[in-house]
Amino acid sequence: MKVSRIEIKDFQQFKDFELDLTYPEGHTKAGQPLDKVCFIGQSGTGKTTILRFIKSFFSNVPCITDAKEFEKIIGKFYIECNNVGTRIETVGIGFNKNIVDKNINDYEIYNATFVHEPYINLGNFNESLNYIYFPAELLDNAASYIENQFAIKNPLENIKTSQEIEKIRQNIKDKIENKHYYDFSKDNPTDIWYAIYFDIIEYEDDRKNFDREISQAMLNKNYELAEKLTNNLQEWLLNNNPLEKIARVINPIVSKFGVEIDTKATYKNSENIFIRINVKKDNINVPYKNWSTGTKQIILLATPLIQLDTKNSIILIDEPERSLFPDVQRTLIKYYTELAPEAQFFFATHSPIIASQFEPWEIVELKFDENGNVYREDYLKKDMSCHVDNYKFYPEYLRWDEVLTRVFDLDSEGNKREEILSMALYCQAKIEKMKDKEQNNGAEFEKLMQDYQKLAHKLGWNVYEKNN
Amino acid sequence: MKKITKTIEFATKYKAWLDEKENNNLTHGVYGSSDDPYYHDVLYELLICQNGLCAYTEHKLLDLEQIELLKSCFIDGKYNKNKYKPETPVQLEHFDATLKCIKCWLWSNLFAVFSVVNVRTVKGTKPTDTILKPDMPEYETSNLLTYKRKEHKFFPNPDLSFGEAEKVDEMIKTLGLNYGYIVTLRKDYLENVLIQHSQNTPQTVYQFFTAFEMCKNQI
Repeated sequence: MKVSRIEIKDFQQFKDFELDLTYPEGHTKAGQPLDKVCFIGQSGTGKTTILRFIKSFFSNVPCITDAKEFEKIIGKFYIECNNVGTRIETVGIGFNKNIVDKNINDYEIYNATFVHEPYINLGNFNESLNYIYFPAELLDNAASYIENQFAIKNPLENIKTSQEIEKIRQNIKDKIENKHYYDFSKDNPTDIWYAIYFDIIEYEDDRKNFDREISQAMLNKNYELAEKLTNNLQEWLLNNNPLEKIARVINPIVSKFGVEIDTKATYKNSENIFIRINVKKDNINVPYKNWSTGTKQIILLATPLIQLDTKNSIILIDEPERSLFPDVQRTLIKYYTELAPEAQFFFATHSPIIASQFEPWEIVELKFDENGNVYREDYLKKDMSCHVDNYKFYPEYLRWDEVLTRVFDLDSEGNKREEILSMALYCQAKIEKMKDKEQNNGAEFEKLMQDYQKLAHKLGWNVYEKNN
Repeated sequence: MKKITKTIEFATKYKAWLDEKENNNLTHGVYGSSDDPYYHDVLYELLICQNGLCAYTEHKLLDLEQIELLKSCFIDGKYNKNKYKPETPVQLEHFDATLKCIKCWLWSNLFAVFSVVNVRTVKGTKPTDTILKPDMPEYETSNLLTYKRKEHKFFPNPDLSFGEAEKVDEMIKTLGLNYGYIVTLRKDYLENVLIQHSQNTPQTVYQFFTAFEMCKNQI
């Protein structure tokens, strides 16, 4: 299921707001829903609000079916979805006036049937996972929960028998399979971490069986079989270690932070964290409480995408850039979208580096008009049709400074660059003229050169290159 | 920034009112806003003199058809704003802001400019030097300004002394000639036009004339 259109009517800063979220003409997927969307815009324009609307739309929220209630609805929100070529009827979400009377910002969202539209309970439509929502406060919510839940005491510590473990394991498995959405503004990620824990237990049990078979072969002096089993074991270890699977995905990023996933960890670790990281240079374990915020951000975001079946899901990520250095940010969108290739992604960001990883039709820039209502900035050239060739700019191909000036509307090139640029150009041109006239020996020329070099150095110019 | 010849051809009632004030050395009263009786007369007369361009940045504000329409709306020396009021981001600009309180309608101190850049965000009430005042008799663009296509920026003519260059540089900033938004508009427009020019494709340049002329030699 992918969202192809959103409309918001008369709600807060949204007056008559419409978003077409399909590929433009000339694209190989023209008319189909976008695979990824990036919301940018000033604080308060409603980026997070739209992400929250989308997640509410696909949640099992209470439904209003009484026609009288509709009269009290003060705003309307519509979504159109396309699912494998089938268009689903428009469904709305309303804002119940009774709820919002006291405080307009304290609204609750209800699935609502509008008189002229058939009702479909989308909350139950997708039998698999509907969405995963990662709020900007992911580290405040999920990360601290893990720290409190696991680091103090392993909740599985007193469970000893294999039957008990199997029962809990099945319970967790069922919970994950039957869960239609993960909202990490409310949900905690423990089920996902438990699933990893049980994968480790299963892996270690299987490994013990291998070891037993090898020992038996050795006892029987069947060295040929022992060698064969040992080789099989090596291959099996590589392909079946659940931590190897996680490490393969996460290490390329966290290795930049000087750490990597410990693939030799077991469920009997002294510290009750199922994913452990070590310092790369000396392999010393880093306790969870000492993980950098960037490490937590990557691991908490990537593990659900690795562990869960995200086919036809919607992944909503608010501020994916949090706590991450630009060189990591510039790879993030490809990184996350490759972890869930059949999902539809919605990002909200303030980062030009994140925005530069999108095509212009994938960016929804929200702005306030003079009446304080929000509109989408039009990236199409004036009076041109919606075609891939008709956009004003293509962020993926711009220089970093152009992403700032063109996409993010920063009017000057740098805080103080404008102050000295034209005088630097003047000095440069004057030096060239004086050289042409062979006047480049006197005190005036020397002074000019000194002034120019000072300015050029501040501007980051290669003086020799510019001068010659 | 092109040289501007300012003559009052249509707003004759305003001219008579102004002449009386000036001849008798009277102040002009307190400047209000677009509600002032001669606001539209002055603004549109200036736009006609400036051929629809912003006086400083040469960004196109009105096309030739709109200019003709403006002319037709002056009736008996007074502009009839109920007939036609172009929707373009233009404002009346007081070159020397200190004159605003006593000589707010002084013709020689007024220009029509691109409001988004010049009034609200760049120039405002900053002090000015007449060295870059485009209606001064001695003003000659090519003697004062040079243009670098690579940067799409104006800078002082290298033939100027360092002291003169500093004055010009200060005015380039004050008038917003290199203001980021304008540079983006100018670069986008000129690069397209210059490519056509280099291919000898006939093209009509309708804005940023000074930069275009200076860029032609840098192709």
